[in-house]
Amino acid sequence: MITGKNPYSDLPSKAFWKQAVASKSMFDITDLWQPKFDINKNHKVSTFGSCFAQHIGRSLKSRGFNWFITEKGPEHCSPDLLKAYNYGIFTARTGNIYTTSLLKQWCEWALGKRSVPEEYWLKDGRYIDPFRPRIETEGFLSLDEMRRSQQETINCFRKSIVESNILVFTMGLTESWLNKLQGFEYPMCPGTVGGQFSESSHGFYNQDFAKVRENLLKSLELMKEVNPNLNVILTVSPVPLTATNSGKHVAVATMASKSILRAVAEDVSSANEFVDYFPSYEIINSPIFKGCFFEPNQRNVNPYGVNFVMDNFFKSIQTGAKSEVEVVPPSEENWFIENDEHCEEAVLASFGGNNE
Amino acid sequence: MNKVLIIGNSHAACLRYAEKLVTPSYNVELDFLIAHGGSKGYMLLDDEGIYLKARPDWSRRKDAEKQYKHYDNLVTQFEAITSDCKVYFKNYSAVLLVGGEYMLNWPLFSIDVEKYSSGFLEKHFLKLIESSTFYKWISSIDRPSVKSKIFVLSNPLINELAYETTPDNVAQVLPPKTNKAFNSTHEFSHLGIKSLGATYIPLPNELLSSAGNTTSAKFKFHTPKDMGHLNKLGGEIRLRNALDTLVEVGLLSS
Repeated sequence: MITGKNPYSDLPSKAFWKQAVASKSMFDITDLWQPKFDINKNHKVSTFGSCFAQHIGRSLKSRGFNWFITEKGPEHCSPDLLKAYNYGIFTARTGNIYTTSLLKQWCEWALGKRSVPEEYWLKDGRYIDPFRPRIETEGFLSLDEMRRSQQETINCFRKSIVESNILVFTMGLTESWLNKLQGFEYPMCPGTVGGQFSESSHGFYNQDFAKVRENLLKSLELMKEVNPNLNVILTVSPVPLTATNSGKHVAVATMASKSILRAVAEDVSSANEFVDYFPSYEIINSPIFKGCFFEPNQRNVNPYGVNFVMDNFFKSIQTGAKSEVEVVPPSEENWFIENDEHCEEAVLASFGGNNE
Repeated sequence: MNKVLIIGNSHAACLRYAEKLVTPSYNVELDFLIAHGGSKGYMLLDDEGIYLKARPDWSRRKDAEKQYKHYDNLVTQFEAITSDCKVYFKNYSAVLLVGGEYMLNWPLFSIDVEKYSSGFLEKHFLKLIESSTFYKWISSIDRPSVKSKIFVLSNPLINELAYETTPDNVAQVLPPKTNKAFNSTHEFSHLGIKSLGATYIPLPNELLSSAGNTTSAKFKFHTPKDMGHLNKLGGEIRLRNALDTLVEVGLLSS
């Protein structure tokens, strides 16, 4: 018989698999997140990152929180058109920021630490921004127009860093594509959604734990330089890779990539009071949930999954808040809007099967 | 004698004021269906003509609207001509739609066009045009022969944001980049109206100030509260320009 006190004897039930998981319906599992800091409706919350970050922004808005949009479309504009041109997808029109190195790159541009490379791509006579290759449905009419738009987004990205109370960043990938000659990074491999791939100037780099961590810490340092009060919530996208250039099976590469991102998130959030980690990755991917939140392709997260993640997010905010926080349930219309997704990386799927 | 129907709001008043000066040169008679404000929302168009629905508040103006008193005689004419509640297009060589089209003109003036790509702005504006009353009206007409008789006159609405007094005044009232927005408005209006099979007639250049984005002061209707409407002189130029266009396309003879 075991007697006496030990470190486990006073732990809450959430610490024990049997009580917290095995004896519960998966939909009754709670206490997955205890926010480190308050999030209330007055806080300006910016969202950037991988595809899954879009859901967080839209959920904030539909549930009555202050999703901070710094780059807005004009008034009277149809929602479909705004979406087609990537307004209101992220806080600014950065497109997907998949890696921590891309986040650092945007921070450096926004804070004047580095100038934006002059590279541009041409497609059917239109100009494509290599750093936001799908931001305009048919590309820009002129190089001048592309550069003006690019600068507008950089200005808005800066505003979001400087003025936000909370920035949510969803880490998506470790695999990255670099310009080897000039040292900058592309969000998408050249030649996939635009531009031309060149062996001599383009290189693949699969970032390890140390590099992902270093780039994240540098990004946070840059942000804190201009906004010392900024709090950051990290999440890891639960969405598997569309394709990998690592040479491994895409399932193995996905696990490696997500494990690194998850480990960095843990490391950085544990070491910094102003950084928190929200477990959207676990909620979707954990065996507890039996893969039920994935679409039949076992990659895309279904609307129920998104909703379940966001319900957990807001319930945790309410539970952990120092004062009462009212969360408006999303309307039926918004429920579906929350679940719609814009994802540049998805285009890689179209290259599959060429060598079968 | 040829007849031209003019449907519009207070911005068509200047045409009415210039009517007697201009029409003898064109052997044309004008019928006006005009009233200030959102009166067009009380009309319905189809292939045959325009139906009119009663708007009971016309004769009960609020004090704040007294500035429009000079249009009341036009409203009277409006009511007189519509006693049978329908005006038939077949009786007219052409139909001019004039002024006051909020969705057709305003939104671009209020945005900084430099922030947006031309591709986006074009789609945005063409989408807005689809919401305009004029667009819906013309869309509801099936017969191309009827559509080809319809001409949309651009609005000098920029005047309602600012009028040419001093450059400082213009700079204070107009949003940045308005000049470009003003030009874009005309380009996109032209595209939108043309896509329907009707014709768009921009404001004649001679009515514009040297800055290009306001109506020249000498063509303004000068009352302290009325910043937006053309006077009789402006109306004359505008009407001649519109009727010249009808002559050019063979709908009128000069």
